[in-house]
Amino acid sequence: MIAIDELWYRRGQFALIGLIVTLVAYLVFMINALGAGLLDQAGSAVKGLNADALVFADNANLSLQQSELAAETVAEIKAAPGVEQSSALGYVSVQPSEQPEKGPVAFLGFEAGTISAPALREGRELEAGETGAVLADKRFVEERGLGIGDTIEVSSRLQLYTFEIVGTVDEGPFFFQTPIWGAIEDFRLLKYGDDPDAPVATLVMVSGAADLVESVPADVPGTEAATPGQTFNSIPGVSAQQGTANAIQGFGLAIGAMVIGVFFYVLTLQKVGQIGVLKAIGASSWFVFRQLLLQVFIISIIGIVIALPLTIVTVNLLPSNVPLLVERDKILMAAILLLGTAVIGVLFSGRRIATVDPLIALGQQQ
Amino acid sequence: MTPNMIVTVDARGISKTYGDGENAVQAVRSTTFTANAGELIALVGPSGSGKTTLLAMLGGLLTPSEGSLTVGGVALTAEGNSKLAQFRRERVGFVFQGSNLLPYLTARRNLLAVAEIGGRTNGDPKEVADRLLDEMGLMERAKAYPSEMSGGERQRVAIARALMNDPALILLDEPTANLDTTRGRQVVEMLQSEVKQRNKTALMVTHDLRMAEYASRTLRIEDGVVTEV
Ligand SMILES: Nc1ncnc2c1ncn2[C@@H]1O[C@H](COP(=O)(O)OP(=O)(O)O)[C@@H](O)[C@H]1O
Ligand SMILES: [Mg+2]
Repeated sequence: MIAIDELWYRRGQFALIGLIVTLVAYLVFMINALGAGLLDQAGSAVKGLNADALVFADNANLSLQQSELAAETVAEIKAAPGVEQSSALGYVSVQPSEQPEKGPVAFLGFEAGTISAPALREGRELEAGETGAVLADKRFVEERGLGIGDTIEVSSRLQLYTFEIVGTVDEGPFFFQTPIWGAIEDFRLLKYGDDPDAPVATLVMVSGAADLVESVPADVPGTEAATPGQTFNSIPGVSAQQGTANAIQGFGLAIGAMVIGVFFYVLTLQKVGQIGVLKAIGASSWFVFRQLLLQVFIISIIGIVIALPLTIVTVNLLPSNVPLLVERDKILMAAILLLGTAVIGVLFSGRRIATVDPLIALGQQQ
Repeated sequence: MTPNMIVTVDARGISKTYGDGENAVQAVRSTTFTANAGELIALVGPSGSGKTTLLAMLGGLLTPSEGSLTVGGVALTAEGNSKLAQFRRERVGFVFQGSNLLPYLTARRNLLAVAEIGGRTNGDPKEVADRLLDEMGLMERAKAYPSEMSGGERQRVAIARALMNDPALILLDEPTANLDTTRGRQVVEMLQSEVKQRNKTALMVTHDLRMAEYASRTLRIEDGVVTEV
């Protein structure tokens, strides 16, 4: 193969562009991992809530901080037509006394044995109505060097409360915080103290009929509903953050396309004489361009194949407070985009190849 | 002309003018000639007389401004670029002044490239390439890159390359210009025997009258006007 023979013959030059492609791919993949990591931190636990619809108070704008539901409303939602399974969930931000520099954590109050219960990883489940015990997210125990059987002290409303860690879960972050999952009764205590008239939940998870997102708010006045995905996207900052990450990745790809394009264009200019000879002996412009495409393809694939493990290693080496996450589908998409932009980058060279006059082969002395 | 002679080149009143208006240069003026299979024709003339231009027209690199030109049965006067490329791939073998081998390919690969770009070889390309290298005395140099070869070797590889696609017409533009006399003679002798053995037509531009001695016929060109010697 002409293209491959040439790659080998000019391996020094091509190794250089291979290095540049690798660095560009590495940059793009790291940005990709950052975007995915930020998204994950925003609340993969919200997205992963196991329900058809999340029902909020209607003046809350789907805000996990603002929504408050009274006991009667919760009962009405649970009894609404079409609802087959339901569970109340409460969210409050609390501050652990130890290692305050790690920031506040999310206390998620759920109803044991219902659809709001997170999947247990280690330890034991909470029993229905059991207070003073929590299931801690795996990152929470890893970051703070804690384990099952340890107790944690948190403050809320200037009061201190202690909980025993009885198990761990892996639902991911909730609203930019690492969560601990406890009884809904403890949520109420943490957020409102022992006021008997206080609200009882942040939202109610419901599953059953297909149109619960529309039907529940229609049946229960004062509520609005959204899917877990919609709720996730309405978390303040999520769409702006993702837009930013995508834009940076787009810039990375565009710069990559330009670098690759310029390199191959310069190479094409250097080779005009040889291209003239190829065309003089009967090669079509398309044939010559195909050789270039094949070379770009090979170089890009090699760059991507080197950059991928590099990205994975870097992500694992960096401390876990840097929000990085390698998501297979997203990284693959970025790799395909990179290949695509590399090909776009060499289209200019294609135009130059087409204009080479084979007549020059007669005029040159090589 | 014997009755069963195959006419390879049939040029009737072809002219080539570069540019137009005041800057127009008529490089070849209404030239008529034929060339037959088995002929090695020398084309001689001073520099600037139109030799390269005539060669380029015969090889489908330039279209004549006037006249009609048929080479190997293909009418070249009205073909588009991709048809002309196909014509060159299938009917013509070029040997340029510099050998113009691809520097990143070994001698053998330079020959195989002809098949890779779509030229049809008479038999398996690898076998044809090996046979031609052998005939040119280049078997030992098959794996050498052009930069590792002498000028004479390069020019012989270039002739072998020109023969790869079993062309009706071989066009050579001063193939011995960069060679000393001994090497030049060797190269032209090779060419001469190929033409005879395989019944090809070759048209060789040369400054060198000693090389013209190997030709079966000589055409002289002056100011674009071709005359038979
Ligand atoms: N591309 C071109 N544009 C304009 N004039 C040209 C071009 N190529 C050749 N000529 C002119 O045509 C004439 C014949 O050139 P050429 O065929 O190269 O002659 P030779 O090969 O015998 O030296 C010369 O006067 C040359 O200057
Ligand atoms: Mg010339």
